[in-house]
Amino acid sequence: MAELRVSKLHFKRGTFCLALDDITIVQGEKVAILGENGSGKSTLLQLLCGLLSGHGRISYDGRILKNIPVAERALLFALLTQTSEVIFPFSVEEVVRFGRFPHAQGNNFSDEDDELTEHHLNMLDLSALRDRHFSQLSGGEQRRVMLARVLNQKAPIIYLDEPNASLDIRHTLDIFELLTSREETVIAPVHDINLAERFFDRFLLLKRGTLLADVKRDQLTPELLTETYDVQVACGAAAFTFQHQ
Amino acid sequence: MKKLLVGLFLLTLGASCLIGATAINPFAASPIERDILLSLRLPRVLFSAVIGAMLGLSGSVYQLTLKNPLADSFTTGAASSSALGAVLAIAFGLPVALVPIAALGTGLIGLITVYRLSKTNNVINPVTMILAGVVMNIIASSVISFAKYFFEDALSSIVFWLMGGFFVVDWSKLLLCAAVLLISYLLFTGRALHLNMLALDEHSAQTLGVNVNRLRSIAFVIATALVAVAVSHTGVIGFVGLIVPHVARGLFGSDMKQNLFFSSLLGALLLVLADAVSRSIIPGGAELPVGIITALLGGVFFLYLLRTRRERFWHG
Amino acid sequence: MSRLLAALLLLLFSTSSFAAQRIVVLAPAAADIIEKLDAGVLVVGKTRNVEEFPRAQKVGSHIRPNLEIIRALDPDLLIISSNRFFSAEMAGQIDAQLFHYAPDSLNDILQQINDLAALLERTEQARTLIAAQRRKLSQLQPIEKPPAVIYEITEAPLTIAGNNNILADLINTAGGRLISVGSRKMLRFNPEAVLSSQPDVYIWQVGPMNQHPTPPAERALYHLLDADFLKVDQLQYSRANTRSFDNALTLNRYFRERQ
Repeated sequence: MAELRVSKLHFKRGTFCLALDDITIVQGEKVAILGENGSGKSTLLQLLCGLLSGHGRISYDGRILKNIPVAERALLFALLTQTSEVIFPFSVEEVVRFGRFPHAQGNNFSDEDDELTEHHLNMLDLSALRDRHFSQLSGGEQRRVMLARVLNQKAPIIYLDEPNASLDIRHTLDIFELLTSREETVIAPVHDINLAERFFDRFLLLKRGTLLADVKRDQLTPELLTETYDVQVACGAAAFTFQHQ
Repeated sequence: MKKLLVGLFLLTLGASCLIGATAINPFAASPIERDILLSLRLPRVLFSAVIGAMLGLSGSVYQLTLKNPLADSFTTGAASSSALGAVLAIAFGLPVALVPIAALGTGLIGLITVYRLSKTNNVINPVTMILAGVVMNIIASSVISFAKYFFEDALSSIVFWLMGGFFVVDWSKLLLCAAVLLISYLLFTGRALHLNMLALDEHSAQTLGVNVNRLRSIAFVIATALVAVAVSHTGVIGFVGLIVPHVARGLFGSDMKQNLFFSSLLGALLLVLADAVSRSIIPGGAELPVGIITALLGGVFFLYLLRTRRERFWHG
Repeated sequence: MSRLLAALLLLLFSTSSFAAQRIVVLAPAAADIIEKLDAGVLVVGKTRNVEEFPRAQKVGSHIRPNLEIIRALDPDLLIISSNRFFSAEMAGQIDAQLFHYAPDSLNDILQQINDLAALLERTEQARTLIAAQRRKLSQLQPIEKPPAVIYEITEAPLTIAGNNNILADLINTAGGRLISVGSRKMLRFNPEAVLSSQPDVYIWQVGPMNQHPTPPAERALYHLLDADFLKVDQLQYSRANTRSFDNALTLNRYFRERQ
């Protein structure tokens, strides 16, 4: 179980400034971060992961992030970055097994690590690709491999930077269904408002580095979104809707 | 495969002990031949193996930590800054025993310079590091050129030294280098999994629990120290550190648990072979600088691999 | 009639012989000979490591001669050791006769003295000079068992004199036998080949090329070597000139005494 608490967070880089007062996210919440480009979504994610350091206090289960050794952080949260690269030819299976690194004893993976790797390969439909090199895969396949790696880490909090980037609609549905049905806390900047609304239950609306609103699904109104994105948002039937067959 | 390769390596070690300026029959050796074998040939063969392993190992680590398939002792400036000290020592006519010490000295200065240049806000940037290394290389090369120009009498010594070779080998130097190799190898293999994570982007590696910056610094410093020690004793032997890790990766996969071992082994194998050739290709005891042979052997093999199985080296 | 004779004489004179008046010496080894031929006054330019001819202007080093200075000196004779550092193109820039001074044996030195003297119109001096060298050679005594000799040029990397080096003929003339290792002037050599070739005499030169070598007797890898070590001065030995004959005598005496 992990509870994330942020208070009086302040971060400044150049002319950009991010300031947040208080946010508490409890275990199992599915939180989408919405906001236009440059509103600070990725910066917030990096601050929460300790990849950037700002003023204020970020704590996991009462422990201040700065005081948690890097190796232990990996047991608290996992991160799917927006773009991913693997230099040199590593196989799909090897990359997914990387996710077990925080749990490895010394230089060796346990049988449990292997089982979990196998499990997550199957879960994301990657068994057939296991021996292919990561770099030979398509963008969408690479995304699924990285997601399998992140899930394989078995951290109670998962940060996903635009999880559906370069995924087709079927895999997007698969992955959002998978993610939001699990026990882990999921915190993700999402660009597609409709998908966010459908799968997440809490929304952080960012605008120019400040938190415009922190709302549940039923409070996510077109007016709020209009203010967030500076475009007229109306509620109505979309031209197409998607559902698994 | 691993056993086969180790066996092949040991066989090569044994065979190359018998190759050289004088053919020695190990079963009917005269006292002087036995002494040549034990006090000259054997340490030299072992020394070439140790140096080859050092260069292969450093290349393997460089390429991963600097995220660049072309990273090696040249692109990081380690080789030329070490060479600079040796060249100046030769040019000023310092006693031979001081040449490796001078080389190690400038090698470490080069290391610190590149390291500090590539550190901004306490973060090591691999691209800046390569740039700093290339700049270091240019500066060192220009001073070396000046030394060649100004100290004409030392020209041939400098040129021969720069081409690389096993000049004076004795057991004490061999033990020193073997100790350096062993310590660095153990330090690296103890962190093989950590090093693997550096293949990912920095944020992914960091959130997997790797202190990327610290690991990268440690790896860079140890790898450069390896190169400095190697270059200080043998001159500049190119291509081993560049090619061997790629070959190891192509044959045995990218996992550093394997790659550290096979890069060292293949580096040792390549240099033992190259030195055996350099000792025996010209009849009568004359030697070909070993750097010429490694570049040729390595380059041709690399071309072959590049044509046949490029996708296994790096993506693209 | 007398005018015709004078014109004829002039014509004869101008075609029959060339007498150099302004010499630039780019081959340091030749300096000694020019001096001994009493032609030092004709030298207007020399490389920086030539000690003779204090009044001549320095034109750079023998590896990198300065073409502009040479041209400004307007020489009519250039003495070079090879085209390696003074290419044919460079020579084409200078309107002067070229003389290659690169003897590879003691006899060749005498031959080249003769040739050079002809260009300098010093045939008389050449005759006495050559005779003096021949006298030195006649003092050589035969060595019953010619010792095998290695001549170390630089310690690290180990390079030794090869068969094309003037030192090979010098050592042979003195009654020794340079260990034969290919036809270059100098070559990278393998320390173990030094041991296995079992030289009787190991000559090591000290000079600009080999500034502070470890005395071979103190080198660990030579502890097995059952050879006499002889230290020589590089500047005395490496140049092929009249001193080579003295050196042959010195070596001959040394070989005789160690028998």
